[in-house]
Amino acid sequence: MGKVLTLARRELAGYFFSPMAYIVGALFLLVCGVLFFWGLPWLDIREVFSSGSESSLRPLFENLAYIMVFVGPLLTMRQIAEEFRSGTVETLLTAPLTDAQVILGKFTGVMGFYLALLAGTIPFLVLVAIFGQPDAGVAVMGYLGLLLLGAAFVAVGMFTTTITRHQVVAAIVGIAILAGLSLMMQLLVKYAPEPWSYLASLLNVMTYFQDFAKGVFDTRALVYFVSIAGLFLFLSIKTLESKRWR
Amino acid sequence: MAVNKNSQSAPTDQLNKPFARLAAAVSILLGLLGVAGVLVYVLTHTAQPAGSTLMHVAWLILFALVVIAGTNLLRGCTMSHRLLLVFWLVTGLLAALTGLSTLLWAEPAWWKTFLELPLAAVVLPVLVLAGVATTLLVLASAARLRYASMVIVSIAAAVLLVVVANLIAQKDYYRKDIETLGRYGLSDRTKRILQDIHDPVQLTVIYTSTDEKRKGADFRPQVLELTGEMKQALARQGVQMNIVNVTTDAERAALRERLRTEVVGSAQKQDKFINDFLAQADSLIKAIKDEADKSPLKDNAYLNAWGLGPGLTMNLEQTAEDLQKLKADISQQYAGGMVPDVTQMAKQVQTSLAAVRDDLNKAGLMIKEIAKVPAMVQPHKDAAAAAVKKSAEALDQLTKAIGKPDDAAPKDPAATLKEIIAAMRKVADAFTASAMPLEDISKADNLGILRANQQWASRSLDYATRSVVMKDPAEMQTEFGEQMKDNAEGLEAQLPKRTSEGQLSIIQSLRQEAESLASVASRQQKFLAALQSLSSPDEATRKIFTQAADAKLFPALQAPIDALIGQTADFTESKPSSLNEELSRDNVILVGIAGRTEAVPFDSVWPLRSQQGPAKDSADARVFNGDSAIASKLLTMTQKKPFGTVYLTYATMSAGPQDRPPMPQDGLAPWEVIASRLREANFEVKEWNLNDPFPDAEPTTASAPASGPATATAPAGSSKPRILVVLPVPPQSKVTQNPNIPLPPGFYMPEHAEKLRKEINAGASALFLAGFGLQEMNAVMEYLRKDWGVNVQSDRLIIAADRDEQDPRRLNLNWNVLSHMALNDFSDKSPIGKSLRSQRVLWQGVCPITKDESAKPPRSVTYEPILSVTADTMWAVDETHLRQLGEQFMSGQGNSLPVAFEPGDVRPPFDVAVQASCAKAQGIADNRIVVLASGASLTDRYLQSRWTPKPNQLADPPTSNADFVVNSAYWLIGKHDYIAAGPAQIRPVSVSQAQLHVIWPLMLAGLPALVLAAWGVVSTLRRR
Repeated sequence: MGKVLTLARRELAGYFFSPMAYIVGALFLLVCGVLFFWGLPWLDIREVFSSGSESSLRPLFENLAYIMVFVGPLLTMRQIAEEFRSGTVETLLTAPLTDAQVILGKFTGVMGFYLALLAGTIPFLVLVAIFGQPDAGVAVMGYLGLLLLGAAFVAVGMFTTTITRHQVVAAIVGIAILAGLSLMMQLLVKYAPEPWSYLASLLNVMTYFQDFAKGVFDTRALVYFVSIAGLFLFLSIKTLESKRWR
Repeated sequence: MAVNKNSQSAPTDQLNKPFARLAAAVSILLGLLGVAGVLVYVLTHTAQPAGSTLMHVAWLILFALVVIAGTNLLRGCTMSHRLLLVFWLVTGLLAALTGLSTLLWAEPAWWKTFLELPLAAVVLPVLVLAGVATTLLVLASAARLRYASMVIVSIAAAVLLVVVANLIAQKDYYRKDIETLGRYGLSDRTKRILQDIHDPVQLTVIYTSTDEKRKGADFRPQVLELTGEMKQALARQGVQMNIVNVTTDAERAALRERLRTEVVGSAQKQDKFINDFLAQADSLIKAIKDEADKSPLKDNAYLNAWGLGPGLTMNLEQTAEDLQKLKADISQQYAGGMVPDVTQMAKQVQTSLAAVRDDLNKAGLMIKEIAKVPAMVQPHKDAAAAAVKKSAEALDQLTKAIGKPDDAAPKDPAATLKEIIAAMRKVADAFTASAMPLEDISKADNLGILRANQQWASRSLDYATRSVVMKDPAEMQTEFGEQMKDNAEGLEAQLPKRTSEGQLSIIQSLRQEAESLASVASRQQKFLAALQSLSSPDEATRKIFTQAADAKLFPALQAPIDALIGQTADFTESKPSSLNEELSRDNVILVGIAGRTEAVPFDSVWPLRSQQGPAKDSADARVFNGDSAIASKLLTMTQKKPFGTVYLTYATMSAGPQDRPPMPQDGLAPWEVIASRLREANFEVKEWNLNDPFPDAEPTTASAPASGPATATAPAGSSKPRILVVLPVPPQSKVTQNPNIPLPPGFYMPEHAEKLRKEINAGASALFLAGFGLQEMNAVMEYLRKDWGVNVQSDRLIIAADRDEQDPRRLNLNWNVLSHMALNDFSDKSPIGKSLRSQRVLWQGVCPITKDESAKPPRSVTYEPILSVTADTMWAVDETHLRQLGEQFMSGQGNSLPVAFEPGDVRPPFDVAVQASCAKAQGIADNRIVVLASGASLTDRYLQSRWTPKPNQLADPPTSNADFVVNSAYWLIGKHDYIAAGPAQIRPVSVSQAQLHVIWPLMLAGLPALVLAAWGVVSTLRRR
């Protein structure tokens, strides 16, 4: 566990010592601000904060979940692919670390950065609290949901970064997988005939996330996110492992 | 050993030969068994659905590939090894998942159409064989290949684990609504209602609307989540709930079929009756047609003279046609895609058959009555004929005496005139004499049948025949006799006064008029003919008369119709089904329990959001209220006994019953919404006019309840708690609800208050609906003050003002919202109020309530506010101040009036709704009351009318006012856990445009800038 945390710390420091993290953070907050104050009317996304609107961050959480489809793979794309490209993977693989420790360490590092991004949205919550009466349950569950969703999405990103040495390819594949699990499933839920619509709703990430956004804790969602994260981390470990004997 | 030179195959040294051969042999064997199995299946199952041949071919190809891959593996092909490994892993995974889902839910419906064997009998061997094959294949790998095999197997195992974990999670899950308002979980009330359910429940969710505003796919998920929670809650107490999610046309058809079976099953006698009718309809119709066709009557038959022959035929033909239509209609209802309303259909058939029977009976009765006519005519026929003949003869003599116009002028006109006068007198006597026997015929009938059927007879019989049996001939004969008599007397008087020329002129004019006598003569002949025909019916008619007399006119028809109608005597009372109507609507939930099925409509589950919600929402925005709506339906369907009796209590003006205006049956019409909501909440609703004794009089001695308020409210000997809802004004009926004729106001007199005191002391609880300006309730208010220390200040009206945006010290009164004040500062401590927080409640005519500290109630009273006013922009004004404000408003100073406190005004805090309970004292039971100082806000009109908060803006009526009454009723009888309210809404953001213009640039630019600044700090520190 110590080795995992050491590696995670190193990864996290890597983020904060490079300008990229700050640029990503600033862009993330800018997008959040736009969604919070204006929404995206042409996509039928309503603003969160205006007189008479529901004093809740739920719409922001739901929109962030969609944004994470793109942000998740972008955060992870360089993790292993870059190691392969630059050749530092040899050092990593010969270090006294197991493959699982490598993956978990990097995963924890990315999650740390992701948490920092989420923390940036707290001023919005404070604002809603000043001018309204937001439900604490919804806020807590919303953040918990974003954490779990982020874990699953980052795990998918970790997997895609282990299968290629090209960062962009890793990001595109990751976005494709996540879009399949969210946007594609949403469309299937809406337009596919039964029972495919029902099956799609069982696989749809957003179905589970919306529970959290509403302030509902559901073990189905918990199991779903944890199992998706676990499966892709396992696949990442196995993929990295295969580099040794292939 | 053959060396594989294929470039796609790895060298055989990657395989462990003994295991590879064994794995190949097992795969070949299983592949061959698979091929054989498919062939046997095809040969033994000849009747296969379309498309199955393709599937069989695919199976054969798959198994053949396994055999081929096994054969190649024997030759050392590593690619075959990988293919077989993937094949057996996938097979094992599918078998495991199918087996698991069968264990968790049920065997898939399609399985039985595929194989008669139980699913487990196939899945288990497949799982074992796939496991064996996989193990052998892994053991068959050497070095790197074994490593790769292990990775594949471990990934498959991981996928299996994930799927299994999710399947189990879907089956047994825990769900907790952390949100304060609890919009997504089961409310305590619903949990309480579910606890009382012991029969299996079937919930059918039919959210299939494609209308963009109510699209089923959008509204369905939350309904399914909620019903899923209900299912879990019921499962914990061992009650099964089956949830059917109907989304496709096929499922909708299957649902209709299921409902059809249920509906038919609940009205089996009606169903048998309808089926018997359908079975016998053809023979019945044929028998009716035969009766119509066989008419034995000739054209000149006696009955035809009465028009009965063709009339009867026509009637029978029409009856046959009607029955044919009825049969077609009923058959269509049974055979169509509709859920047959068996009760209604049975009533339809019963009514139609009864009408047929009545028609046949009427025809028989009429024939039976007409059969009396010959017998009536016969005794008087000869005398009448003789008299008519005499009249005819006298008429003939008169005609001869007068002569014809062409005859020569008489030589002695006076003598001729005398002769004519004598003939006229004879005619007069003969006609008058003939009237008697003719009248005897009419008298015999006493004008019964014929007059009763006068219209029909006048249409069917010729004039003379009809005249004979009606009163006319006697009258006509008498009348003509009288006329002749008068004529004779007139001539006699003229005779001496006229000259000879004058007499000749009279004779000539008589000759001119004499031609009219011919028609009278002809009529006499017709009378004679009619008498003859009426007294002697033909043979065929006589036969029909005999049948009618024996009530055997239509023996082939009457017996089966009587037998069918006889079945209806055993019908049990059954409510007509409205399921078809409900199913024709969009988005409904059907709740089925204990053989009954009822629908929860879309507007109950997803009512329109109140106007207090987010301003940006469209007018069609809806809010979820499924928990309350479905639970209420379950409550009304499962509770057999009402929780208590609510008496809507009032007093009409006069105390004396003899002076009191009569109360119509629907006397409480203005309170029907409240009454209906109370009934839905499982209360029995009655009324009590305080001028009458209490409707369900009980012993007035106080009870000694075992424990708790629920039992405390019931007096000794009573099984049900009693709640008095004391209405603010006397009820007005729908009949007398004319604004131009107002009913006199009722008054609560001291004796009325005394009656209330007596009932409350005996254990009843009460909800008092007071309010501003209701001075007629003074006696009741005095009782509240003395006995409960509750001071209702009905002489003051609560008003609310807005702060002026320019000058915050200035207050403006919005006159429009006085009738719809959004007071919802409900107390958390009161269970009645707590559930109404954030709900859409609006009030009118609100007066303040305060605790009267000076009052000394006879027992200890606990006073608890439910709804209070604390805002300094609200206060209560007296009538003088209110009049001033009214004058300002009327003088056109605008809708928004500047307003300030006056000395007589009452400033907050004060209450507008309170609950009070008291401990048991000697002779007095412990009980509870609730007082609401805005009773007028609960009338039907207020609860159902939209209103105008601003010019050109319409707002919905309050949705939760009625919940206040229902919640109060539950609290009054101690059933706190049944308290619920409508949909909850989160309080909106309140931010001005000016504030927003400052905040957004700060947040939008400030936050990212802060992050970038942090990078600047970090990089600077690192450089150092």
